[in-house]
Amino acid sequence: MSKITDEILMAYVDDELTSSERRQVEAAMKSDPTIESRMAVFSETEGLLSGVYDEPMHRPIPDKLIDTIMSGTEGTDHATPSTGVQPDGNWIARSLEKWLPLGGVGYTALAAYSVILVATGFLGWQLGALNINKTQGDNMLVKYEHGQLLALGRLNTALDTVSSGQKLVWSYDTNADRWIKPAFTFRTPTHSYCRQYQIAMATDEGFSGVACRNGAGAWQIHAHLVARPAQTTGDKIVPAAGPGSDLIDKVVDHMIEGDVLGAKEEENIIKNRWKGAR
Amino acid sequence: MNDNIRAEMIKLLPRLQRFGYALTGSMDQGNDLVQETCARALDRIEQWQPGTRLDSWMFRIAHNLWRDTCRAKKVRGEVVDITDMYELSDVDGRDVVENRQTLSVVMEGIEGLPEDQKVLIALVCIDGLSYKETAKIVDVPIGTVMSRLARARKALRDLVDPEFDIRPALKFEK
Repeated sequence: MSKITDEILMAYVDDELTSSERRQVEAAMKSDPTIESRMAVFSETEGLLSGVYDEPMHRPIPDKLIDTIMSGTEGTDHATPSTGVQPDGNWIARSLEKWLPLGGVGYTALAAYSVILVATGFLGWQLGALNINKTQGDNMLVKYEHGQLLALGRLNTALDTVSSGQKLVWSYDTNADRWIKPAFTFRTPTHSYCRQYQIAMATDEGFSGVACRNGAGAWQIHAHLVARPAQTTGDKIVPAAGPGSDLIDKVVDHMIEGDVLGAKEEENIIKNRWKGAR
Repeated sequence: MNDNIRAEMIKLLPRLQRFGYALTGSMDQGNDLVQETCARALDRIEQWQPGTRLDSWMFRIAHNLWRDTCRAKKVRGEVVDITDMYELSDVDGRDVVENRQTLSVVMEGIEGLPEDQKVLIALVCIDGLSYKETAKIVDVPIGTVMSRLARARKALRDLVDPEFDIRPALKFEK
């Protein structure tokens, strides 16, 4: 390094030099006092520029961007890179920490992340705990095991044995109806069976989610969000409402192959204990 | 349908949005650019090599789209009201004023940079990518990245006077 250029000084600040190059710069600094002030230009701009355009990082991701990604058509469908990129749990935890205090606007962000979770078949336990922590003891509906959120107890029973549209009802401390209702059953492109379900915990509190049979025959929960429970008026079912249920619909749209199963077909599958599932 | 890629894209959105914001100077325009970028990326997903970095590939798409836009109609960033954008209310009052001024000076400074320098500021200084990765994204030799980036940073540094309160008019010579 005969002459220490500005570019080299900048690279020094940006930690882009090899260790021998760094040593040369440091040696030159001792003999040439101007180097330090020339370098200051770059270290100052580094500080000045950090965080300048961070505003989008502190806001929920706009729906239109998520929609574009989730509904955009791929040019070819034979490209199936399977490098196994998964969002790591820490990232999800950090993201949730960042968004959850925002209260009202958090839903959009939750939407973004749960789509991630669903898309990779990974549901952050944070999200699960967040929504299900009201169920305790034998009212536990889920467990987190080996990186999967699995249905437990009544939820498992309901998904295993209850026909779509029927409710598994229980009450445990008040007269309020508490129930779990599989809403419908569908297949995924990989031929596993999935069911959308609704859970009512109180008149205006409930959850909606999607669970799929995994290879071990358990129901793995792929999405689970707060949603106002569906109301039944006469024979008509008013669909569940709220941002959570909209999102669950999106999730289903994303996972489903073909149409939802008809009652007959579903009955047979339940009778056969979900054999034929992957 | 590839779930992993879509998930990775969603994960990249905040960084892409920041990049779009830096390039266009406006969050709305930045988000439009990101939206276009995602649509194009999905459309051309077969061009992405599994095992290579998806972020770099998408940054490149965004950059190319933006360059095309600029070439087509010499877009200038919208005027952004800095006071609306940053709520700095619970910071010490004096800091707020100074921060706002510095921030606005820096942002205006970046907006005034030539596009080929602005993108380097966005990738290296704001996103923190390496020179090498940046060179691949903008498709110029690493030496060019370094000389342009050094020039851009010197220009920005010149703008931000240590007192940063007596420079209402900001002009770039070039």
